[in-house]
Amino acid sequence: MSEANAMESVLSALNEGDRAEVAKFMKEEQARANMNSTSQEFTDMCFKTCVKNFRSDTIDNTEATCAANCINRFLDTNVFVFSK
Amino acid sequence: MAFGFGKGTESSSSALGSSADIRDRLKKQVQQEIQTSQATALISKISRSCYSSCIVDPQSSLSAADQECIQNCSSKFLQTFSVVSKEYVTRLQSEKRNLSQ
Repeated sequence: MSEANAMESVLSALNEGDRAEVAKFMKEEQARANMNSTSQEFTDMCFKTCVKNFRSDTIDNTEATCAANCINRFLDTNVFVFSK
Repeated sequence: MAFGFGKGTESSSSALGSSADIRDRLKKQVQQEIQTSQATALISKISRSCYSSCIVDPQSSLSAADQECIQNCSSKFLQTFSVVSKEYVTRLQSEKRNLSQ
């Protein structure tokens, strides 16, 4: 049985209310997954910029502040570029 | 994505369980698969980033210093991810508030 057929038969075994709930759930999970992926990309970028000392295993206040600023300034940059 | 529902059995409602049962199992499975794929992606990023930072002159094996650097780097990366995600969510929420005013 192909994956598409398997999914179809699982969904058809759900009543209308449950099918709607699953659809809503999928949408929310998708949104959450997108947020997570975007955060991962931002982390990649900001980690490179902000964290350069690996003699310690914990980020200090300077690095944490830098990371927070990094993401905010990136979003500001996006807005700015878009507006010009 | 394999659903593992009624493997080797007829796909009738009674074999798969009640609608609520199927719904809950499906949700759980989807959630687990998403989490696994996100964790894998994150580990991949950490590997790449920490290799870049720590292994500047590749030798014939990872030295103790290399391993310590990678470990510290991985730990710091995860903490940075936490900071960045929180800040991102906070920022989006405040933008949303600004738009609705």
